[in-house]
Order: sequence, then C-alpha cells, then structure tokens
Amino acid sequence: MQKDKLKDFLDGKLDFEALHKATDEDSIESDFIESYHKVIKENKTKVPDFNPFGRIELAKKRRISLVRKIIPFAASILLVISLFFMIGKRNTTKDTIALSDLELIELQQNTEQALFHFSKELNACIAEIDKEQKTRQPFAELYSINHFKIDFDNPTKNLKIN
Amino acid sequence: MKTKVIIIILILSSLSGFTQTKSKKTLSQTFKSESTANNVTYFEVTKKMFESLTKAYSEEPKVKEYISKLHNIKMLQPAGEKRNEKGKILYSNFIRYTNLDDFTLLMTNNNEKSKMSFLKKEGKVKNEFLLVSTDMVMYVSGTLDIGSLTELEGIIEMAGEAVGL
Repeated sequence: MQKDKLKDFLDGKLDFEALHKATDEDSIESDFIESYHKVIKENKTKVPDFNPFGRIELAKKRRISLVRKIIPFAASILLVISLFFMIGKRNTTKDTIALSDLELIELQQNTEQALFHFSKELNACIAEIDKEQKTRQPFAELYSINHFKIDFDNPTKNLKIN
Repeated sequence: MKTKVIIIILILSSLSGFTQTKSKKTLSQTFKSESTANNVTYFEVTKKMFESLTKAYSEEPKVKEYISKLHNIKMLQPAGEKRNEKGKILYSNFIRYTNLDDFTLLMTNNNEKSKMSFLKKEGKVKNEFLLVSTDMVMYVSGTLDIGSLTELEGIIEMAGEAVGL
C-alpha cells in the first residue's frame, strides 16, 4: 500500500482529493506522510563528496609527526651539551697544583693559625658554659646569663677540656 | 586553552616559591660576595690543597692526622679602621641573610662587645662547622668531629713549641 502510494506520488498521479475522501483517512495520511518524509530524507541526505573532518585529521597527523621529529632532535642536543660538560670537567680535574716551598710554608702557617683560632674560640665557649654551670648562682642572679642561648642537646655538653 | 591556563598557573606558582627561597643566599654565595668586599681579608684552603699540605707535615704526625681529615677552610676577617662596623654587617649577612636551615645552632653568645654563633651540620660524607662572630667568620668542613676540633688548639700549640715558634 505504501509503495503504491509512493509510486503514484513520484509519477505525479497521486489523487490528493481521493485521499481526503478515504474512509480510513488517518491511516492513509500517516502512511503518506511517512513515505513523503522518507522521500524527502532520501533526497536531502546525500553523501557529501568531501570529508568535513579531513582537515582536523590532517592537522593531527602533522602535529604528531612534528613531535616525533622534535624529540630526537632535542635529545641529540642534550647529549652533545652533556658530552661537552663531561669533557670540560674531566680536563679541569686533571690540573695539578704546583707550589714553591715558601708558598707551601706560608699556606701551612695560615692554615694552622686559622684552625688554632677556631679551636680556641670553640674551647672558650665551652669553658664559659662550664663556668656558668659550676657557679650555681641563686635564681635572682641568673639574669646575667640570659644572653646565653645554649642547645642542651649538643655533643660538647659533657666534654672535659684540659 | 584550559591546559595552557593550568600550565601558566603551575609555572607562576613554582616561580613564586622559587623567589621566596631565593631571597636568602647559600653559604657559598655569601662567602663569595663577602670575600670580594672592601676591608675584608679572606683566606681559603680547598681539599686539593689539603692533600698537598698533608705531604708537607711529614715531621708532625699528629697535625698531619688532623689536616688529612679536613676538606675545606674559609675565613673572613674584617680589616681596616671600621672593622667593628664591618664585623656587625658580616655577622648579620651570615646569620640573617644566608640560608642556614640545614645547620644546627650549637651556641650563641651576645654581649656588649661582640656576637658569636657556632653552627654545625653533620653529613654522611663530611661534617661542617661554622663560626660566625663580629670578629671573624670561619667555616671548616671535613671528617673531623667537634671533639677533634677542640683538641686542635692544644695540638697546634704543641707542634709550634716543638718547632720552636
């Protein structure tokens, strides 16, 4: 039934007045409308000749290929730079220090002086701490040592110095 | 667009964190900047030099034993007429404007004449000791412990007497 109606419509022979007079108008109408819509759809929905997503896919492919080219290039540059640094560092470590006897003696004396001074200051501080602990001042007189901030967990607390 | 905004936010937040820590110099940076200042005497011995020095101490085995354990010494001393003021500036540059978070403060001594702080940093490879005072700043690093450092005064004094100095 639907096919007949469709054929008549396409051939231009469909009698619209007869359609109106048909007893079961609702069913005929719905059939016709359905087939009409079908024809419209078939005519309108033509497969396009071009791919609308083609450009996007092409851009994506280009981006991926660019990244694949850049990564090995960057890695090679990093490798070259690191090689330069390694070679440069190796060359500098090969340098030896050559001093005359006089310079060596002077350096020796300066080093001893520096270490002597450091040790002396450290011992002086430890002696002050011991002195404060030994005096056992009454509480009212302890204000004078308020400026000492001592870390009681330090390793020199029980060290005996002669 | 969203990813770009997130990346920009991440970069900015990392930069802000970086600038906060960057306001304090490292110990090496402070030594470097102060060593070139006017009215300051600077003395440094590196590990390579200590290796050469240990050979020179063949007649003093005790001193040699301690010297061989040292890696680095740096000493800054204010000099000239305004050394007291320079000393105070040195002290604040090291204590306030240097990143000493890794160091443990052993003792501090403040009096009318001078200020002094002793700090230490114990590590797996070496120990570091820092004496910061208005008279001088000294940094010693090596495999010595604090007990050995206190003994050095007597040992160097004895070695000096033995040589006849």
